[in-house]
Amino acid sequence: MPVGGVGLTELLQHLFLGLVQGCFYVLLALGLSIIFGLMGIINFGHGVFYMFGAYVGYTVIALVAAPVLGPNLAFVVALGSVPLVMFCLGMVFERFVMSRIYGTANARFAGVLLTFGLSIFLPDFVRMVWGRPGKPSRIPPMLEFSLLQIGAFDVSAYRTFVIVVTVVLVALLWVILFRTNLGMVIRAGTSNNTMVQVLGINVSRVWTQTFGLGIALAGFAGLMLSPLLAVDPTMGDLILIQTFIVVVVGGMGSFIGPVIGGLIVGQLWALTPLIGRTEFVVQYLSGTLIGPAFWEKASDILLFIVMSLILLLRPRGLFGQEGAFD
Amino acid sequence: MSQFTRRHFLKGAGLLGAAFAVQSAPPFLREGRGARPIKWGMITPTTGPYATEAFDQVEGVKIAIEDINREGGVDGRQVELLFRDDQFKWDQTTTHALDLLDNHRVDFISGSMVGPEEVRLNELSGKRKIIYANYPQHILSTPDTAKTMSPLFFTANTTPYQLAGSAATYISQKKLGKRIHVLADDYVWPKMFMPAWNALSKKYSLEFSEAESVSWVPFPTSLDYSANFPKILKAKPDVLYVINWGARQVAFVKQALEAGLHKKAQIILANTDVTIPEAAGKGTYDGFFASAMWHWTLGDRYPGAKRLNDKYLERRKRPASGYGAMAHDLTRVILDTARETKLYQPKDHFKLAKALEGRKFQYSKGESWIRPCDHVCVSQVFFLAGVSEKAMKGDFDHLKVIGDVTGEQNELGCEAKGVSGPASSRV
Repeated sequence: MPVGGVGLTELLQHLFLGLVQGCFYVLLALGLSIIFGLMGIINFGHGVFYMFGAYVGYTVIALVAAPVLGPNLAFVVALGSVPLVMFCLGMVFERFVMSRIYGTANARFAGVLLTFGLSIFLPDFVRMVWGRPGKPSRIPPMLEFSLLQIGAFDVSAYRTFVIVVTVVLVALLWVILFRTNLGMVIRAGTSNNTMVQVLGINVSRVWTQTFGLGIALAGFAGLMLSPLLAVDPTMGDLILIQTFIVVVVGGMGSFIGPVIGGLIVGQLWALTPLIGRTEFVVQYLSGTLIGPAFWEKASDILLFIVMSLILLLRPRGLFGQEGAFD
Repeated sequence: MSQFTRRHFLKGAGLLGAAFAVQSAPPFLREGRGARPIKWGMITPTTGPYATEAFDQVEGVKIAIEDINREGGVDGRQVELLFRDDQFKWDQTTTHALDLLDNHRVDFISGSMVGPEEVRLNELSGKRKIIYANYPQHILSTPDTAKTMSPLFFTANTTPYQLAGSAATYISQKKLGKRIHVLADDYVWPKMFMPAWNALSKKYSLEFSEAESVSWVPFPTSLDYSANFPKILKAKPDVLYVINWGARQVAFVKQALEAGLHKKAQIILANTDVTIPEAAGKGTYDGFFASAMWHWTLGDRYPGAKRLNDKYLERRKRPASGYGAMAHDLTRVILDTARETKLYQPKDHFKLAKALEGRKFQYSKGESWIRPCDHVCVSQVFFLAGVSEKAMKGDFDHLKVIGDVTGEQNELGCEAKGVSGPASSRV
């Protein structure tokens, strides 16, 4: 049964792809939003931490675990160890680098510059240690099969796994933020940092842990995406722009914002090419500038238009509140 | 204490003036014949996403220059490489080129990895009347761009038409089917394949239409090709021709494998090189096909290729890439011709260009020659097949050569491009 001239099967295929893509965006955007929400720092190094997570994953799987445990168990080991390594790395970076700028004049701007500097340094460091060529990273054999088919399209086990992992992770984060003391302090800190300090809570330790958590999420996203992309020092370059769009759309400093924002942006990415195949576009817009061929390449344009509209109409984003988690 | 007289002052001023005059004198006064090296300027992005291939280019040029110097140089002069990294920034390409031309007075300009660099260096070549040795694909070879090519632009690399031609030949010979679908990144280089496929589909009676049979992928932002898979599956092509490069090709291959796309259509990659499957992993390219300007396994067939591989293995711990081999071959043919004709100074470059046109050469692959009207290098274009992990003998034989296409018929004619007569005569 066609929907606007597009077959239902084709629509379902795109909806599934959009859901998976949305999950990737959620994984990427949560870390960025958490760091900004509590610390007010826009982490321009988010992309390179995502890249570094992929490299840590490669190292753990290919060089450490797989020769001993095989590729499947090695992947499981990486699922646990990569976030841990990135959490520690994030904490070290916050403790010894970022904390130097707190309380200074123009601290926010300094934070931007510091993290931007890291985004230049870390890829070159990776080239020095791991070499210039990309590193191989594959789907573990236990997830290398087709779960079901939507028309001729194989719904792969790995993409389904990504959806499941994202749901579990979001739930886990919700528990941390809304059911633990740490989460309570983080939420309080986003509302009123000064008051939290006055109450005698060691805010600097919370900030260190929060930054580590944000970086762990970025690195975990890198691990999850690496079997479908090329693992190379430049892989974090473009992901940052898309992550910012998600966070802006969903709302900076919000917990639910990046989740909803990621899912919306994922569907926009997947469904935009389909607009060009609708009856309306084919019949009335063929031969024009916004004919079928335009829509195939227009997902970026549409994303920026949506982001701009949201910024104009609701600058804090769909779910953003100034300094508080929803 | 002796007195400082006017004579002392004049003597000192005279010495100072002479020293200054020598320093700022034109090079030909300072560097006598036989002492001044021939300067080979090169600009390529050894920083950025294609750094590996760029470093390979530099190595290929170094090997060519070392060989020439060992054989006595050119007209008794040694050749010196002056290299600059433009960091994948096009404004830097021009800045470095001007620096090499104006401050270092290079005798040749060479390099580039991507279209924007190629276009800028081509433009400078035309303005400054200096030979530009272009190492990447010849993108000034289509009917739209051929007339913009500098008469002193040279390349040993392939054109988009030649790559598409090798695939079309293979499709026709092996009867892979008639229905072609193209998946391409949305930027200038893949778009240059469209005139090729329009012409080749008529030549080989293939079903291809630019309006219906092409899926474009937003570039450079979208790294996930899967949004295009439903359209491709709906089209049910016999052959899926994919035009991308580097990390994006790795991403596509992984996603195609994950989605089982390789089981539903024969996938042919427009171009590839040894550095790309290395990043994808062993056996990843099994079931895929590709065209290429060169492949290191030609070392089994051509002594020049083997020699080049041996040098790369010694220096870079892996075999040469196509970019390295083509950089080597082009540098070599220009300097060999310069040595034979004793024409190497920029004022003689039009004469040198005339000597290069039609010249046959063979270094790392079979015989090649430079077509006079558009400086297209008529040479072999290879067809490769992926190798399974089990069948791989080492770390680099992800692909093997299964055929090649050569000859002028694998390129658009000069008339079709609107150019006639030797390019060197188009001053």
